[in-house]
Amino acid sequence: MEQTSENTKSPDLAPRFQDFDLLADAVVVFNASSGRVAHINAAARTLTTQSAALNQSLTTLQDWTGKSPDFFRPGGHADTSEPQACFRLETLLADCLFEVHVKLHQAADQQDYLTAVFRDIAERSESERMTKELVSTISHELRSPMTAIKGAMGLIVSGAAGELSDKAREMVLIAQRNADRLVLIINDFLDLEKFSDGQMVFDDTPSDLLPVVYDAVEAIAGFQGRFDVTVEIDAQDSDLRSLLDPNRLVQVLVNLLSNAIKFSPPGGVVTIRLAHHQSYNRISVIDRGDGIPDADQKALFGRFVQIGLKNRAATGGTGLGLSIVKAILEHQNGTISVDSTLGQGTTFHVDLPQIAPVEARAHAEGA
Amino acid sequence: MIVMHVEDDADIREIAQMALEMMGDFTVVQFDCGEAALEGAGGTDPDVILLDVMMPGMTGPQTLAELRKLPHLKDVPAIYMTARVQPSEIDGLKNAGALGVIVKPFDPVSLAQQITDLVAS
Repeated sequence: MEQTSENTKSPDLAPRFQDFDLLADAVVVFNASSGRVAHINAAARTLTTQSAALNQSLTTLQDWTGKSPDFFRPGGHADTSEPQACFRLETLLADCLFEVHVKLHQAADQQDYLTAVFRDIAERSESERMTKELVSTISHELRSPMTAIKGAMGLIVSGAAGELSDKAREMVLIAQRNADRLVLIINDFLDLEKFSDGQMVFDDTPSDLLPVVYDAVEAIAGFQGRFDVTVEIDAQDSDLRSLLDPNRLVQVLVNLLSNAIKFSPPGGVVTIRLAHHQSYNRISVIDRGDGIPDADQKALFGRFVQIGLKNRAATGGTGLGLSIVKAILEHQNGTISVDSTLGQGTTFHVDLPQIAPVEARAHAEGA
Repeated sequence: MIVMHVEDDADIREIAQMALEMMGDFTVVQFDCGEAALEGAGGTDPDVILLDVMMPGMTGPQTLAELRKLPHLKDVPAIYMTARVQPSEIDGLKNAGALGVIVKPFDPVSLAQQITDLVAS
C-alpha cells in the first residue's frame, strides 16, 4: 500500500519569518556582510515608525544595535577574539531601553545573517531599580535598631542591668546570637548594593597570603567554637603573594570558612590549604561534611542560593554570601571553583594571580 | 573623662550613656542633633567628642566642623560612631579631623575601653 508523503515525512515545522509577527518582541534579520535589514517583523516595524517620529532612522545594523557588522565577526568582538555565536547587548531605541540578543547564522542561500531580538526592558529596569531602592532603604534603616538591640542585650548579658538567672541569661544569649545573624544579613545586602552601584572600593597592595589566612582564621575563632569544629592551616607553600586588598580576602575566606564550619559534623576539622597551582596561588577551604549534589553546584554562586535548606534555620545566612565572594574575587582577577563529593565533603578553591617580587617592588614604588 | 555625645537615636544614646558611665569612668553629656550640640557647646568642656555620622539636619562631619570653630573645642579629640563603612570612608572621616571611627553596632561592654584606647593613641 502506498503511503502518503504526510505519513513518511515529518511536517516542516521550521517557522517562516512572517510567523515572527506574532511575537511582542521586535525581530530583525540583517545581512551579516552589509548590515542591511533583510527581514523585519511587525513589532520591529512599529519601532521604526516610533523612532522616525523622534527623527531616529532605523535602517542598518549600526542604527539598530550601535554596532557595525565587523563587531559580530570572529575576532571583531570587543571582549574576545574567540568566534561567538550569540551576543547580548543593550541599546536605546525610540527613547526606550532594549535588551538585544544577536545570533549569527548561515541561511540556505549560503549567506551569513544576523538575527536580532529586541526586548523592551524599561519596565524591568524600573522594577529592578525599585527593588534595589527598597532593599537599600530597609538595610540602612535596620542598622540603628540593630545597634540598640545588640547594645541593650550586651549590657544585660554583662550584668550591667542587674543579675540574671541562668535561664534568662541563656535566653538573652540566644537573642544575641540571632541579632548577630541579622547584622551579617544586613551587611550582605549592603555589600551587594555597593557592588551593583560600583561603590565597592578595593585597596590593592602586594600581599603575602599566609598572614591573611591567619587573620581570617582568627576572625572566625568564636564562630568555630560554637560549632565544635577545628580549623587547621596547611601551608604547603608559604611564599604565596598576590596583588589584592587583604581585608577583602579576609572577607572571602571568613565566608568560605563559616560555610565549611556550618556544614561540618560536630568534632570535625576544616582545612585551609595554601599552595601554588599552575600560574596561580591557590587557597583551598576543605570540609568533610555531606557534600553538595551536582545539580546544586551549578547554581552555587548565584544570588539567594541556599544549599541544604533543611539546615537553614541552624546555619542562617542570606544565600548572598557566595555571590559576594565571587564578585570580590572577580574584582581581584581571581576565580573560585568547587569540588564536592556526596558523603565526603566539599572543597572551595580560590585562585589568585601570582606576583613576582619584582612586580611587588614596582607596585610599592608606584611604578 | 567627660564625653560630649551627639546622636539622634534616643535608644542608642541611652545605651551609650549606660555603657560609658557603668562600664567606664565617664560622664556623658548628650545632644540629639548637631544644632543642639552647637547650642550647648558653650557650657560643655569635654575631653572627647563622640558623634554619629548620619543625622537629620547637620551631619556628624558638619557638626564637628562647626564645633571646631569654638576655641575650647578646637583640639578636643573627636570619634565617629557609624555603621559599616568602607576603609576609604574611614580615611575620609579621619582626614576631616576625627581621631577614629567606632563601627555600629558597637559592643557596649568594650565601648569605654575603645574610646580610652583611641584617645590614648
